[in-house]
Amino acid sequence: MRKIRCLLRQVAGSRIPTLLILLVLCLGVSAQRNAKVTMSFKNESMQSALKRLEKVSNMKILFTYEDVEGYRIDGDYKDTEVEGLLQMMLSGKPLDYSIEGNLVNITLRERLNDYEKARRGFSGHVIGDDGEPVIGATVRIMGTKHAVATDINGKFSFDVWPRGAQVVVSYIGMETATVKAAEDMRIVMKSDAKVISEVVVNGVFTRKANTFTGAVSTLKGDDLRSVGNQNILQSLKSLDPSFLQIENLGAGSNPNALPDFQMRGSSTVADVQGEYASSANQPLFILDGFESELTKIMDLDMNLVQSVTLLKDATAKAIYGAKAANGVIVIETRRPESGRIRVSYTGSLSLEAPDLSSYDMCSPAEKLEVERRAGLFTSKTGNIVEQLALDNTYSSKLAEIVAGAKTDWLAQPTRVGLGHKHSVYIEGGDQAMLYGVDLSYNRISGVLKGSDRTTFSGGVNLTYRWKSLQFRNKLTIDYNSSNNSPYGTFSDYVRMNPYSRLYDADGQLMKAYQYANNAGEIGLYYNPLYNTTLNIIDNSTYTTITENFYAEWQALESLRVTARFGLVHKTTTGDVFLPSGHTSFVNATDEFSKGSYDKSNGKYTDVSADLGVNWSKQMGKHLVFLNGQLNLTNNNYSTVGVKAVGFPNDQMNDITYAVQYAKNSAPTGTEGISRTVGGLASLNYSYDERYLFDANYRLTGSSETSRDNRWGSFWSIGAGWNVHNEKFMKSLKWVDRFKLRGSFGYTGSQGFSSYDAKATFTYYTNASYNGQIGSYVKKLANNDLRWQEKYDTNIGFDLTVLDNRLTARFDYYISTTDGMITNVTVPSTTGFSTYVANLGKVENKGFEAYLNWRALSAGRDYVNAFASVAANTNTLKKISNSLRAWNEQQDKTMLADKLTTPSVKYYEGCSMNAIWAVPSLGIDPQNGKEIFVKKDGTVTYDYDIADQVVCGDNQPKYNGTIGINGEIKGFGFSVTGSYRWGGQMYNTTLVEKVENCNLEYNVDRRVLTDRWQKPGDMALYKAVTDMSVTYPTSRFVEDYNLFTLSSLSLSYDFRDWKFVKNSFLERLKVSAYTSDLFHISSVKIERGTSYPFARTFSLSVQATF
Amino acid sequence: MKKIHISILALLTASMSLVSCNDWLDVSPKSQLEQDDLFGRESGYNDQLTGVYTKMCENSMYGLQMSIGFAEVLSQNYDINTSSDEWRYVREYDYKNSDVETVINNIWKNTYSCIANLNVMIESLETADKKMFTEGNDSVYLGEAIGLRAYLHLEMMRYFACAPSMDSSAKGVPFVTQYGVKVTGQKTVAETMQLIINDLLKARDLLKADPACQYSERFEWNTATSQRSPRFNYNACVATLARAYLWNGDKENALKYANEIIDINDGEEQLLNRPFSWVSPTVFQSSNKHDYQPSFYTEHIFRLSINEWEDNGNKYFHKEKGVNSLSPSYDYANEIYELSAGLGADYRLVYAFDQDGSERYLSKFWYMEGRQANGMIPLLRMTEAYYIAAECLKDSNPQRAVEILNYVRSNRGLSNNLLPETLTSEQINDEIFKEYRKEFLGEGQLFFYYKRLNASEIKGAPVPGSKSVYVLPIPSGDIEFGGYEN
Repeated sequence: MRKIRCLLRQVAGSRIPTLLILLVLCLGVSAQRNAKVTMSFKNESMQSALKRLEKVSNMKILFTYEDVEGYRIDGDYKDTEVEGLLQMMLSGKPLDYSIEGNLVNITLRERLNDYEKARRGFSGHVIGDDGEPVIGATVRIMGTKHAVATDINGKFSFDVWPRGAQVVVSYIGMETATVKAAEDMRIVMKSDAKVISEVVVNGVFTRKANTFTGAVSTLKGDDLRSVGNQNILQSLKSLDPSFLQIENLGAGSNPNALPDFQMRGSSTVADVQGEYASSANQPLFILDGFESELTKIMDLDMNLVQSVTLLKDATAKAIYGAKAANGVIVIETRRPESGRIRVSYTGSLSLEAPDLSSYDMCSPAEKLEVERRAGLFTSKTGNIVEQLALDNTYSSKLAEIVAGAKTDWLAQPTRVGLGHKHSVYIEGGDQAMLYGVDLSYNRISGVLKGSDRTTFSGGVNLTYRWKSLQFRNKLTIDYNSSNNSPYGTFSDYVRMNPYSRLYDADGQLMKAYQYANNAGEIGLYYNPLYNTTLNIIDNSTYTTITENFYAEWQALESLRVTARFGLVHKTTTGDVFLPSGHTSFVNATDEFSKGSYDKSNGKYTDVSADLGVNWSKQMGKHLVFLNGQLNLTNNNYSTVGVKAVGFPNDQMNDITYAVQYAKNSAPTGTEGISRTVGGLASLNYSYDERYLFDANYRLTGSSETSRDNRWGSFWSIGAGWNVHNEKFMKSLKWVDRFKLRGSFGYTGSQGFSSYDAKATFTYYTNASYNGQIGSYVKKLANNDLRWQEKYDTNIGFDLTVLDNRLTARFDYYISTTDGMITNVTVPSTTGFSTYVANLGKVENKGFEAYLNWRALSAGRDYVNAFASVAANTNTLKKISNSLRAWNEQQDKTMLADKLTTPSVKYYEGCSMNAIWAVPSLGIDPQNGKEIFVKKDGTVTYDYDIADQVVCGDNQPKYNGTIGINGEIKGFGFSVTGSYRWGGQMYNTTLVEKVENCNLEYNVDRRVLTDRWQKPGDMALYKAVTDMSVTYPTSRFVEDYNLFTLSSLSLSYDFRDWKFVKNSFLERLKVSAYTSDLFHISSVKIERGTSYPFARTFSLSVQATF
Repeated sequence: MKKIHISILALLTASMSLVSCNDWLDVSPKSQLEQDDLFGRESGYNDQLTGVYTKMCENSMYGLQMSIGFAEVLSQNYDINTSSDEWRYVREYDYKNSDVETVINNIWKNTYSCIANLNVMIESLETADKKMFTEGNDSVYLGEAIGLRAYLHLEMMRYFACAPSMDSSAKGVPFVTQYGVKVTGQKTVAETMQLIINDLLKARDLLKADPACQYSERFEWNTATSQRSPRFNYNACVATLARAYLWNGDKENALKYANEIIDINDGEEQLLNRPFSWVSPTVFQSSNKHDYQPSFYTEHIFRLSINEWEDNGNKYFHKEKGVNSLSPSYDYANEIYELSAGLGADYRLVYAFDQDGSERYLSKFWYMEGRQANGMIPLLRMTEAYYIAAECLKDSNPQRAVEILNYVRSNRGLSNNLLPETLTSEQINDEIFKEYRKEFLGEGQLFFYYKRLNASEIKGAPVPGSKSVYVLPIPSGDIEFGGYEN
């Protein structure tokens, strides 16, 4: 500012001393302000007027040109006192004057206030909505350069207080607040859910989304809850296509079946030993910073979830190093909010209805017709007596059917399951102490009678703050009890012949039926319902105690030290009781071995602890975050199981009633300890929020790798460019955000058992020699065994345009798993047949794209539409010799065991999910035989397993989700669909229930309609009389496209109603959900063979007091 | 400055913890023992050897196939019923038959499994702190392990490689001395034999510390429960040397070690407390059948005591197995024991055959409740040393050869049927063959007698002896993954 306070310029120092000098001057100078002057102005500029006055009055008038610029004076003043003249000249203008002796000081009114208030300044403190002080938040006086950071107590102060100043408080993870400055102000920052997407929570630390270069998806708890209320995994798969549930047509909607998930393709072969087959590709789950089991996540009360973050690329997941290769899912639960005691209740009732629409079984008359056509009633020998007998059988069966023999077998074991769920959360407290208590009960009743899953859980969350220290403690206890249906496997009912009556003439439940097989031989088949009349037990329970402790010390403004300790102790039980009357003991001769009881107990203790340091600093345009962490984990587990037999009475259903242990049985079990230690360093640097850089390094030592390869180091590097912050982009007003990012790095996964790397010995348990027990070496130790490493490269962008209405995200990745753990076959001269080694390489590449359109956004009302697509291709680059041997074994087994479904085979250059079958030209209309194409292109009627080629791929080419949700005037809605496109499926229903069908049992209706009958028929399937086995052929490889309406929900929030506003109620909301309402598939296949799929309808009430 | 201090502190903590972590990460499994734990005390070596003997007792090895079963069927000493589903393809040397292939593969696989278990022990023993052993025991364990390993390799040579008389430059079996993933290649038959002999010599030196050759009173020699006598001890090592040298055609050395065995028993200065001695006829006169020892266990140099013998001992030599039973028929047994030549008093016929129902079966290995000799399967018999010596001497000193054979005859109840000293070398040879046939009936040795001589005739065999009969195929998996051939 250019000043012309000529006089004062000589006086050095601040304003206050200047004023003092002026005051001193005043004392000695007589007042000249009363001197009278006469002046006339004609539209004269203020400065010229003041300068003339200065001359006329002999006073020194001080002013700033800028201050008075633009004001003009008009009027004649005669014999007016200088002060009066000044008053008139300045009236109506924002200028003040002061007279000290013969000095006149003209100032802007504002500036004067500035002086006054500068003497006071103002201060305050910032707290989060959880009642904790927000440390290191930036507090800025709006429109000025005055900015400070809050201290360890969340306090800040300014030594200036511009009149009417507004302060802007910002902090990552919090909604930016703008408040009018006041004395000792208290600013509450909201960690509003909307803002969560502005930060990246990875379970170890928090990063500003704006400067982070990793590929992540963050989903708010509310988003997950608006999609469904079953569990977060179900909601998650409806929202993010990269989180793919492996379709399990067998397990259907069994509430006790653990689903299998994978992110970005599979990177581990389902090993020959199969030990890890089910979960080899499962991502790592992190709950509140600690590794967690899938079961825990599945049973987690959804209402407690604050956010879920999916870490996908190397930059995002490298901090989890050795365990992160399959992706990481970070779940944060809510923390109590401060204030008066608040109680939230969520209750829901749900109905699960069996979805049997995929079944198309024959009716009694149709089944009989199939049997007739198949020649079951035609004598093979042509013997007239035999034929007469068969005719008799046919007519008596027909008569039965006409008389109304019809059983709806599908309906027998199924039901509409009624489940309910209650969840209470109590929270409150003040800045020093916060508490949150959660209690929940969830009972799921499955659609197969008697199957259910009940979870109780309770937790206490306490936060205590003292000076720069903060402690958080969360103790959770979960109890779960699951019952499997005594009705057994659903397919046992589906296959029952529809003309078999349930009850005999005396009204007794039939125990067995006589069915004729394809050759016309009669066999005895048990009624699966019979066993359900017995007192069967198939129950498992677990109890988990989880204790998480967290301490934080704000050592310096920019430095924070954290320590965490987590303990999980889990006990499991399993009980399976089959009474002696069970049909599986029909052939047992020894009365005292009938009835069996399998009991198992497990114990699992997981301890983890870590110590972290966070340092963050803004230096001009440089923003640096540094994190370091040391951690260790110790995991013990043991299970033991025994089997007892001989239960004379069905009611004596405790293992202690057993007559004896099962013959030649010994207790079974597993046991293991695994330990890891590690450290992590993570850097996030950004320059001017334009150029971004991330680097992570993780060192892990594990007890499971060999002594020579104990330590694995994993790292990642990422870079990003916030294009929208560049000057040249500022003119493009419609672009709000455009970030380019890329990363690469290594993560690991284990996939071998605890002791594979060591030569371990065990003792013979079933043989002795000369009265001594001998030892032997268990396996061929591989001293070179190391982590299997995944190298991820990811490039992507984030784009937000049109005033934040349209958001897009895109990622392309190539992930190569090297040193894949597989069994390697060795010659038996080593004493063993295989050992575990890092051999094999698999590549996954693909992309993910997300589009989100905020169609409406006005106050609380919004409408949001979204669509996403993910694609992944999987290629085996290198395999071990044992996998080659495995392929051959698969072929041998297929022929030996007459397997009709394609086997999993591994070939270099092929996908791990390839469907291997012999190409087929279909059924020859002339003779009903299938025509195969050999590898050399010639055609043949003979099936040769060597002609198998890749005829499809089980994994979809594209899969994704699409949906719309919103809330208008309290009405909320959400519709989500998921789809898969491309990819194939081997239609096992066609093979097993139509073509290779077993006529002993019921068959698919298509047997009647689509099979070849006479020359000239253009049939899809072989002749009904053709009893040959159909091995995998391309005829049954079908393109598999699917659309599922995965969720539909409606809700209403009563917040605007008077009875809510005027009562103790803070919130009242009702919601209705349905899930899996319908699906459209290009493949007609039986879904839910062991356990039917279900459609879920539920109604929920949410209230906060 | 404060920051710097903190980072230094953090670094120190980090580096300190990394150092101590390595120990912490050494987790010992509860249900399994680690190498250092097992071999950290003397008993661990004993346990490991016991483990190998336990494995050798399995049916796939000496519990059935490498003794009374497969190996003996190959020798055609049992006239197997041609409709036997279990043995007919073995009898026909149809090694391609999938059941036979499985038996052969298991012999190979399990023998090498024993070798791996010995190797891991030998490696530990060679670096072990000798202080933990009772004096001298470390050499005994090492000698026993190296010797047994050589014995098993010789077995593999006898099954899966050409005999040196057939083709000594053919590929031998892999001689494996390391536990690990490294694949051991093949050497020639001659080279492999040399490796086996070298190890046996080394083992013999080490086993000189064996209490079994110190002949002291404190050691109970040949009782069923004695710890060292039935094991691969010093004498077993010497006898194996004699067997290996003869297999290799080195008669001079074969004689040397055969004589060492003979001298213990029938030498000029017979030792007291002999580790093995001729069966005493008094045991056959006992009214208690349980005292019977038709397999003459006092004559065993190396044997396995098979715990689970009840099953096999009660089945294969009884009518229960029907066409699958393992016994020479009445007439065939009479032929083997030369009944027509007036040799019917042979203990091996009189006391080792018994009636079960209407048929006579080989009762040598019958299981009888409470009998001490149950499941004692000889792997080395002292008489083999006599036959080896006789074979080595038949040209140079036929009288001595006959004398040696007569030692055996006189201890088999044939004192009145001694061989004349005037026998020619060829006649002696014939007598040796007959002895092999009689002595080792049911023990799986005769086949290798034919093979050693590359005999073109195998008595009772449907096909003549040839390489395709004598050399069993190496498992196809090992041909593929180990690049082996034979």
